[in-house]
Amino acid sequence: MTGELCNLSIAETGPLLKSKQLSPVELTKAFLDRIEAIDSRIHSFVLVTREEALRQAKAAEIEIASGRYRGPMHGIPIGLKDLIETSGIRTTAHSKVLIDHIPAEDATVVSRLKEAGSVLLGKLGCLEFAHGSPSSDQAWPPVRNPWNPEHGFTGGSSTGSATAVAAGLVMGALGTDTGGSIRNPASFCGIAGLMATYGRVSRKGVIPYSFSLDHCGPMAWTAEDCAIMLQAIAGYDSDDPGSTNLPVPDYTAALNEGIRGMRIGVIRHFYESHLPLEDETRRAFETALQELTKLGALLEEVKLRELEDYDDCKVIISEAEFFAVHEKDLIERLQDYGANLRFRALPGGLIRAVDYIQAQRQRQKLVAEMQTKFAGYDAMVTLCTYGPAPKMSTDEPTHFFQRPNLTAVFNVTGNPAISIRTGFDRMGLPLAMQIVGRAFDEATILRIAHAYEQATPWRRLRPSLM
Amino acid sequence: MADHNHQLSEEEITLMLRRAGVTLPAEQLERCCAVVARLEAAARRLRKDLKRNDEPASVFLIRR
Repeated sequence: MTGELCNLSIAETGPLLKSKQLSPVELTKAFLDRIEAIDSRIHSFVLVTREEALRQAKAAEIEIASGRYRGPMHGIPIGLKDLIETSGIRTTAHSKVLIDHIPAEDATVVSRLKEAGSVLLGKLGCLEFAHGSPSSDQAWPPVRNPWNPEHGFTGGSSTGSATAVAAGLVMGALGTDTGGSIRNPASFCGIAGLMATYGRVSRKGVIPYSFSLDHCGPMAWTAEDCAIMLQAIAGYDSDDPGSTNLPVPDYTAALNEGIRGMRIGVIRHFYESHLPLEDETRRAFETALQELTKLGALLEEVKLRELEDYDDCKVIISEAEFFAVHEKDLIERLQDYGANLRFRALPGGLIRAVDYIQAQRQRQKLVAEMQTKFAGYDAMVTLCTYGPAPKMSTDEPTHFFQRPNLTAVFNVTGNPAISIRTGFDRMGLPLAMQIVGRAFDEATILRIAHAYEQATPWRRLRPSLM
Repeated sequence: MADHNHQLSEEEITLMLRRAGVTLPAEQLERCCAVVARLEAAARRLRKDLKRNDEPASVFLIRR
């Protein structure tokens, strides 16, 4: 029964909790037991908040029993990337630099999830400060991919969030995304990961990587669950200077209305110009496109700028901003950073002011061009990663910079994007595509993702870790 | 006039890092230089088609 409970989606669980067929305490205990049984193989948690989780679950149980059901996140067990600050609970950014950091306040997204009644199971591992890579000199072992823990890599940087969801250790999690850090691990771990429009979800209390590129967003088993989580966390926050004051729509209202007649642009040139894809990656994407056509969408090839244009802009901005955030600690306690992060971070201190400004000027053009392109489309689709999860490597500090990734484009332009599973490779590792929307139109990409998930069998398959 | 084709040498990077407050041992410096070269290339390329009046995305926005 424990395994069955942990394989339910948030959307399936809400009605059971609301109708009191399932108790939040029973549900929370099932997840805590599963974490105890499995997590030592994949290391997704850096801290399990067992007592607090049971206390929150009990409170939810009492409220629901007395008729005060708060909504679809009430009593739902979740986890948080350890970059997101939690009042009274250690928040380390997976780094020795913050090993004793206990925030006084919750991040806005945490406050909102608490208001929605969710149950926090603990803090989830990530790449150091969302920018490192797995290395053996860190305080916790690298997070491993639940589809094949020995093969291993989970992508980055919201690694624990993706693995915990995929392994059924939480029902949903929050991640952060500066160049793909929600969508990339979501892709490698076969879950749904949504980066909302820049400004839609508050960054207040999320330890920064790059102020102007950072996003916080939901990671869950299905697009529908991402919609439910986004509903709980989206909206203006005066404490976040990047927050946008726009009304938040009902993200689940139109999920089942289908995609007939939608115009979807297909971006192939991003990956075709870089390296030959393996056949199964290409085939899975093309099959997914056929499925969208069968569902009634009108697909058309679309050409944007070359990938390098976005990537050049992204790396100059993100590396300069990262160094600005960490300047004091990098100078005073460099040895406390993991070796891989040191080599990535230090060159950011050598970027000239004029280079940073030119990158921001170029970015403005890229944003305007993307808005113009979107005038003809409801959404665009492309691959999320160049293929399935690669083998775990703990000694690749510069690999990060060698090839433009397929996700950072939309951090630069600020458009919302979701990663969803499109199949498996011959080793049983998940493959994924990315659906991108107009600014502040998360509802449309969630609708497309949901329609695709309903029409395909991929959501029914879980990694077998027991 | 900036020479965007000039690639920073290891000595120049060492000096710049020192100015930024960081001193690295030789083997770490080599790996750092590989990343610097990548960033320099990006900075060179992103200047294309910018016009005099193009504003940066980070322009100051005052709120009421």
